[in-house]
Amino acid sequence: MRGSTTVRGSTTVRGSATVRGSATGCGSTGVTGWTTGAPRTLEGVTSAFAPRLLAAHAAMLVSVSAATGLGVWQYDAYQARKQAERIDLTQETPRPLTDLMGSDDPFPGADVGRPVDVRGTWVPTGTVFVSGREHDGVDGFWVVTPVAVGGEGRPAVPVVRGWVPTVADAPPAPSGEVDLVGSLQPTEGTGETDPNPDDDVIPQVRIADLIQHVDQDLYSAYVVDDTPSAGLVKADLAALPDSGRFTGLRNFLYAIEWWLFGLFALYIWGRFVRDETREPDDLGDGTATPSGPAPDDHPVPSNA
Amino acid sequence: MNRLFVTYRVLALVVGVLLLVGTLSAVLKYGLSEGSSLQTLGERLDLVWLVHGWIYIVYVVVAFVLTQKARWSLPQFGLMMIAGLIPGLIFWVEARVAARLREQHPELVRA
Repeated sequence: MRGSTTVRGSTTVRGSATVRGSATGCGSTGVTGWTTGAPRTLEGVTSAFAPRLLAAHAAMLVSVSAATGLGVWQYDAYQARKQAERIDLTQETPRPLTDLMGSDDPFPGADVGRPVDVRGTWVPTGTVFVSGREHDGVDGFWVVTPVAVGGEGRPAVPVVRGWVPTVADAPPAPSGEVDLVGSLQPTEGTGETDPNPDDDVIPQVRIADLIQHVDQDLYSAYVVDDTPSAGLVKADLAALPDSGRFTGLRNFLYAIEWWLFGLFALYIWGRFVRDETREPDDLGDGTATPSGPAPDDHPVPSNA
Repeated sequence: MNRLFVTYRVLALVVGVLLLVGTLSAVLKYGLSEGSSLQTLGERLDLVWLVHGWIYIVYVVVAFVLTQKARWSLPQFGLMMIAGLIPGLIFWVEARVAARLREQHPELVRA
């Protein structure tokens, strides 16, 4: 057995774990691992499974799982908070539109998505279709009919009555008195121009485009009807309340912090274990170097 | 002065101060009745936790590099790490680290 010759007083091991005839060093170093590859000495080498390293392994497992768990917790909090803030406002009791804003007022930023109660008269002649609106992944149109708030001829608020896949699918515009509940939304305006100003299709819910279709003033807001009439699907809200965005962001950043800590703990552990299990560079100077074997000190297989 | 040593000291100071402000904010936020102006201030100051967290990460990495260079044990590093989490402790630990470094590794203190 070529690998079993003794070199410089320590036992070389190949193929199977062997121990020296004398018992020195066996107890502390252990023989786990090191069964393959080039001949290695057992002296001074700590196994990665040595009892004194078990504490390090345990500490690593605890801190990495704690950091991961806390990160997930913060991430969930981030998601939940965002969700909660949205639902909070959209499920408030509806308030009369006229309590929140007048027809000349700017949009009340804190009321995005708030349910409002709109009473007035439909302006069927002002009906338009807003193109490029998706619902469940299908491209379609919003059907928008203004409501003169408080009665005929008074300033009107555009109401998104619902969504249709094509303009031809839209039911005829209603007329007469109306009392509806919907979500308050700020009007859009990214500068996209109406490619065809003469038809009833506009690219955005924008006052400058809508005003061409009515004879009265318009509120600087629109309302998405909560209960569309037959033939219409409730439109998805374009602007959701974002009051909680910053608080949510904080949780998100905390989550990342925790995960970074987890990675760092993993790195420290890796370094520690590597340092502890590394073979001494110079066998000659270690205390583990035996004083020299007796000529009859033949290696014995451990299973013998 | 050695750049690493200075970085460590500055970070320790910043982390320590942020930790104190954060603790103060928590006391104001939870200790006072809802809505009072000091309680609101506490809620606003809450933000320092976020800043503390990120600077603390940098502090921990710098502390780790420093312990490696000084060939200090892992428990010593653990103490420096925990010092950034217990209000006030970091000032004492920082002074101790500085003293130990001057004594054992003057080359790490001077440039």
